[in-house]
Amino acid sequence: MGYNPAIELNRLSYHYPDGRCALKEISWQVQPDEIVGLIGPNGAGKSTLFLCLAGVLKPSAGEIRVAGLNPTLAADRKILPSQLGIIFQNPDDQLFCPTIGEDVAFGPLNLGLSLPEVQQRVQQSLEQVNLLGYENRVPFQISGGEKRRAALAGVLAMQPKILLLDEPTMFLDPRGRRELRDLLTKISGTKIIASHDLRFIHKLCTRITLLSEGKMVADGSPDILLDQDLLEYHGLEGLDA
Amino acid sequence: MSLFPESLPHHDCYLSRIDSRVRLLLGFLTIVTLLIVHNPLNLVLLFTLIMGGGISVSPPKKWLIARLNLAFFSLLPFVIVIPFVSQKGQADWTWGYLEFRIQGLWDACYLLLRTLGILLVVLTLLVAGPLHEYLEAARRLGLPNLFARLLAFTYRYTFLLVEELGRLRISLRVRGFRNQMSRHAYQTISHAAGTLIVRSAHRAEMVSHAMQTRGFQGRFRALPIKPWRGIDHIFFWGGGYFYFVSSRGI
Repeated sequence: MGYNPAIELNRLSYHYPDGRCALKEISWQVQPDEIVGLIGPNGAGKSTLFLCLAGVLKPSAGEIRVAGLNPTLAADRKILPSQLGIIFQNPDDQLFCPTIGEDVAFGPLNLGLSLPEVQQRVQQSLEQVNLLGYENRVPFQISGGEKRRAALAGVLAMQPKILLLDEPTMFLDPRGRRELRDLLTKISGTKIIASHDLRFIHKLCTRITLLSEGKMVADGSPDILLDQDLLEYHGLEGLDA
Repeated sequence: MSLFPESLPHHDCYLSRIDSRVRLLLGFLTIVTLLIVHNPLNLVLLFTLIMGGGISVSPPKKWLIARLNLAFFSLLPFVIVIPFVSQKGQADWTWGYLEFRIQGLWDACYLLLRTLGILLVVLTLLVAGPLHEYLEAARRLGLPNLFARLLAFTYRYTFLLVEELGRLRISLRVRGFRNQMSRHAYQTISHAAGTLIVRSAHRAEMVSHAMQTRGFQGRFRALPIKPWRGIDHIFFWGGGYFYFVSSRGI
């Protein structure tokens, strides 16, 4: 299904406006339906990488291909939201409409879908995240876990083939984490999960990529998470810690 | 006491079953009438009607009374001086330099009734439906789309900013900060205000990113609201007729 590879980066670099380097010549490939855990300390460049993939930030150098599209081109950026969805760290940044229903409908409406189709997608994605009946609820009246699921519903309504999740377990209690994990296992497609929660990553991902100071320092099987020395050297703690 | 409308439970009352556009129009017409009515009898009658309307949607008693009390006692210091400072007509009583005018007393009563009346209309509308519903209704009634959307965003993020402000206040207090009239206190408050602005800007940037990644290209699209039903026509035309007839006697 989809494009092969789903994501392809070739010597990608990104510099902040003040000149600091956030990503240094990253070359990376993600295959369709792969679930990749992107780990790294704070400031490693995980969120910046996601924003580059989503076409929000323009890389300073290198090439990006996401589902066969080039996010640096305006024409491709218009199609990109239907192929790639991103869940931000803080769900409050993502739930900007007055009601959950309107928020979930925001993306499909932007895709120019017909009204019955939009409504069908809203129902479908709310059902997927177990939030049916929340259409008229306001975002500040629901719990952190529900906010996270509502944000996920907003992205799922676009039916993207690639899903990027930035710190999805942040603000979640153990039950919320468990629910999210179960939910993510049910959703098909390519998933890249950036997180410090190594247990969560270990249970979900089939591949781990370690990013540190903007560089890709390790990429391979989940066994990386058992390498205490490597993780500690890069400011993380192994699973046994 | 929270003044935020979302802190109240929305009732399933006769008014909430009417289309939000009709509710908004009726509320608007009532406020306009309240502002232009000059006959004291008509004003009292209208205020009684508004109060009846407000009670009929059965708002939470404590909630309603607390807000009306707040408005009443906030207005009182301004209203109480009107009979003494009004210059309309001859003074009815004089005690030394102090002059009292009955006309001023009437003006004070008008002001009080009008303000409380407007507040009652707003509170009644908020009991019948959430604010975002009225913003959508206002958009459908011709308020520019961008303006309505900006109001909705402002409304949505006001809560987050208030939360942020609460967190800032707590972090200041736990480190021993107390509000004082000192240079240090003013400096701290201005730093906190600056932090709040920077955080708001950051949040705005994140929201913009979230919108872009969901296909937003500068044009707001919205779900349509339900078409009018029989009851909406009855309230709209009935309300219009009532307004027309009553405005002739103002």
